[in-house]
Amino acid sequence: MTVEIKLFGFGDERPPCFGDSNTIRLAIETPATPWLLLRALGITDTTGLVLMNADRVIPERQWSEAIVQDSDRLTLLSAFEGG
Amino acid sequence: MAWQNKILRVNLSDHSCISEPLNRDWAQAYLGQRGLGSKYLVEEVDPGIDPLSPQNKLIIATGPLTATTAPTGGRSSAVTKGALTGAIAASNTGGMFGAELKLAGYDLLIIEGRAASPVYLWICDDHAELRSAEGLWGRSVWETEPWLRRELGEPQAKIASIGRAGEVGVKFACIVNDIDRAYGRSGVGTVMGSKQLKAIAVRGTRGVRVDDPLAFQQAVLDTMQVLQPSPVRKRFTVRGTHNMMDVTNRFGSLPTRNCRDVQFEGVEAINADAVRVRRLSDGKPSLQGNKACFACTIGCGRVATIDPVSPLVNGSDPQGGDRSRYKLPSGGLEYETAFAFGPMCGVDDLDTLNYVNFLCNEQGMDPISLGVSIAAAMELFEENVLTLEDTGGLELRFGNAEALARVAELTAFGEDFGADIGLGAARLCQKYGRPELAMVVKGQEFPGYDPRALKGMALAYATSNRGCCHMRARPLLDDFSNVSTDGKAELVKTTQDLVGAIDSSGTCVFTNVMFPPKHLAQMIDAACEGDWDLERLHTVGERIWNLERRFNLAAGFSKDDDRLPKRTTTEPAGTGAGKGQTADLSNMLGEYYRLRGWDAEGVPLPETLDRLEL
Repeated sequence: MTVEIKLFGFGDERPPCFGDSNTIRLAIETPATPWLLLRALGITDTTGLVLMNADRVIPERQWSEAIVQDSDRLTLLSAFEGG
Repeated sequence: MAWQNKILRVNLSDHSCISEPLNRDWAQAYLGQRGLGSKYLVEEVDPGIDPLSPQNKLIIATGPLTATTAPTGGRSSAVTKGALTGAIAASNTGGMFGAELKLAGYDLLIIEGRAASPVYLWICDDHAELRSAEGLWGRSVWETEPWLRRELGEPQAKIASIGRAGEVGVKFACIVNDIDRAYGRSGVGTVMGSKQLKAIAVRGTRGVRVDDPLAFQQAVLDTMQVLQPSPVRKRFTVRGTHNMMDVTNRFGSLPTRNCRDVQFEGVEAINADAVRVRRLSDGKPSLQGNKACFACTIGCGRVATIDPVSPLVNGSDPQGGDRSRYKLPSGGLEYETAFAFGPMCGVDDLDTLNYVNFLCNEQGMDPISLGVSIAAAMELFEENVLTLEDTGGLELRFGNAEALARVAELTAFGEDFGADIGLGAARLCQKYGRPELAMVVKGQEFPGYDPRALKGMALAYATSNRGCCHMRARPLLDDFSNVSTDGKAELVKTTQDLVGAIDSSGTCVFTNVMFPPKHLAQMIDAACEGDWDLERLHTVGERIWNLERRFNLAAGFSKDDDRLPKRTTTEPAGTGAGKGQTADLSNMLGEYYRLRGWDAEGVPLPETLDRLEL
């Protein structure tokens, strides 16, 4: 299956697999949890990381449960306490 | 130690400048800066007075870590009864001015009375005097600073001053220091203008003594070892606070068109990437670099330029001056300025945003309040409440960049329809019969976080003692990942207390996400007399919060003022993470009062006051 992932707020600190783009389409073989997806993206530090599926926030406590579906459009926000 | 144990009391009515000992018991109880300044204000000012009367006082307060090597140790606060709100005001600035005041030997500067004619205050270590500012009145901040350094023959003097906005009574005038840093919110510059005090110039050549120099040095080094590699620190350095715009926009919490919407379609033209795009005219980006305040290794401040071919920087300004001064690099867009002039007004023209931001620094206006007030006027215009006759021919519609720039100019000088904008959003909307269109809490305009999706921020806005504020509590990280009201009351209360301590220390609140607060406690413990740990800092913060609350209650505020604008509580967000939701305080406010030890009316209980020794 394939999911689209968009980054917001990362600046130049995107995971290398994104290259110069803020969007990636990731092919994964089996239904996945957000944790598996993040690992596939090379993201290990989740400080300030917010995961949204369409407009719905997936709380971090559900990251090992919620199943990512085919054609899901995910958003990763790198948030911090702004001024 | 770390305190200088001396304050300077300046009476503008009788032209006296007298130093006196710091009340050291109060310093132990309230630390410094916001807390200690508030204690002096509460003890010396009747909460019921008119903020613009001579009976109001303006207190510039440093903290114990101000002017030390503690990371970000350059902060100071302006404490007064706010002209915009009538509530207690404590506005916090960086730059160099506060550190210079501390190095001159003062913890606090208390300004009282009113001068018969414009004056400025000159402080050079032990010497302090008031001088005529007749020749300065009417000049901008950008003219005042170099003029004073020449006049004083002191190129190292640090200066805080008001621009035209503070002179003409714009309710959200600020005090600008070091050209583009500011005691920004609540109209502290309006109070300074009402006293006919144009500027304060300081030269300090003293040091600051800490209680245990070796322990302090170690505490600073320990803190730096956490701060420097922090990814959040790096993000602030490279991207600045402006980075937040993409996040709030995608999340659906970017106040847009006076909070009609929560996402802005034009964000890519004005975000932190847009300022890096090279212009066709000169091949340079708007963003020229970053800069730091005293003792800061973060450097979140931006330096920007406007496109040199823009009409905003060519030809004559409305006062007949040469616009070319706006071609020079100056303080660039922070998140809040970009939000206020951009999405809130529906404007996506980067040069206009930079220009209005420059104007705010030059003439001393709070950009948040200015932008939100203009946004309210734009909605009044689109609702046909305001006419072209009211606005002097300005098509004050959302998205009209030219009208934004022009009305900002008029506001700075208190001219024509700008005089109405200078009232602030609450008074403006009241004047035209639509008070519900003012996005304010306790008379102070919204920052750039829509409270419908951000549940903790909703409570933080409603309960902030200085009126609507995003800096008095730090619920954001949790808000982004937890779109519910669960646990928010405790989070807001706890972070309000912590921020109260940070705001009183002399350091910057941004550090709270870059190193754990135990490091701040360690630095204070090494620098100051007494034993300081994190628990004591929380108690100090809680004491300050209750002190401020009591001042506001005595000034006439009540539970009814702990509320959000009707729009955010009745009109659901149309998009984003809060789609279909309103800001609902009902689940949180009662719990918050209980956690605070207040009764159902939001009044501190006697046992709470006893516990906090208030």
